[in-house]
Amino acid sequence: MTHHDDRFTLDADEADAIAELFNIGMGQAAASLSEMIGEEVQLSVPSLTVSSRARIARDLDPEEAARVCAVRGAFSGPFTGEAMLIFPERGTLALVGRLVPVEPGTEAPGELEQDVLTEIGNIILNGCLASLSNLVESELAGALPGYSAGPPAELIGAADDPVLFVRIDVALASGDAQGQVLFLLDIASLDSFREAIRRAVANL
Amino acid sequence: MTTVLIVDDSRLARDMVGSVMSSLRPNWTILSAAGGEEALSKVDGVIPVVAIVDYNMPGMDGLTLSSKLKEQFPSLTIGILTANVQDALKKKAEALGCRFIPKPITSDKIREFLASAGQ
Repeated sequence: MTHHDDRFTLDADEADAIAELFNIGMGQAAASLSEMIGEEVQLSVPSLTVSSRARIARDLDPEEAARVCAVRGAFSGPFTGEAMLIFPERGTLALVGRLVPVEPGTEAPGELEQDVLTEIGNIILNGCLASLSNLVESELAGALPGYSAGPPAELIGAADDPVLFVRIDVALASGDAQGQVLFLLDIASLDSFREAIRRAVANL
Repeated sequence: MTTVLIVDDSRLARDMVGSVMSSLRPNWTILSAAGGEEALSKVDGVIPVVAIVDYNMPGMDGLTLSSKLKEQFPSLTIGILTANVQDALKKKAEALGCRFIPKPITSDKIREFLASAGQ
């Protein structure tokens, strides 16, 4: 299987439309998070590529050194795939510390910190998916996101199959928590995704 | 000649704002740009009456561009286009005298913005 099969080719307008839908979805989700923690949440412009789980994990952690905390969940509807919020352990503690007291000297998130990150992930990921779903006017069913931690390669996987990959970097304005929101979309669902985008664009 | 400046890195967003603008104000000239630098070079010699500027753009963000535009055109009314309506952003935009137009774009939101700009 090659990565340049016609099924995976998005034209410039489709790619632009997908990036803009995620930009709107994440923008609304970031506004909710900002309200929750009382601080500015900065977002990058979404990047969109055809990649693979193996490559995504490598790009996130070229040294294969970092342990990260992730909140992730599968979703399905006009497009299916997996959404993930990822922060390094230290960044997780900084972010969670905005909502609950974190003992100084804590190295890795404990049960309480994990619960708080899961709630934050829930707000961000489901907030973004809800906006996307409204934009394309069809239901996106999302599983309740769950927490996991480990090296990116372990969390994201090592498969070489092509996935449509949307990445948005997220940071607190004070600079002590920097993470990513990743959407890995199944290529098989691309046709229905295209159809959904056409509807969204026609509705806007 | 009345000119509106539209700046967004997404072509989709530019086209949408552009098509709403041309239906609401068919006689206006639309100047569109995909980023801050391009916008600044395009307004050389033109004085826009309103500008609609995306916030989240690669390179120069919409607030930085707005402050540069305000230096050049102090009376320009600027609408910052974003889905990311956070208090921190709101304060920065208000300090510059800019308004917010929440994404997704609709005809009503643009109409309201133009009315608030006295256009």
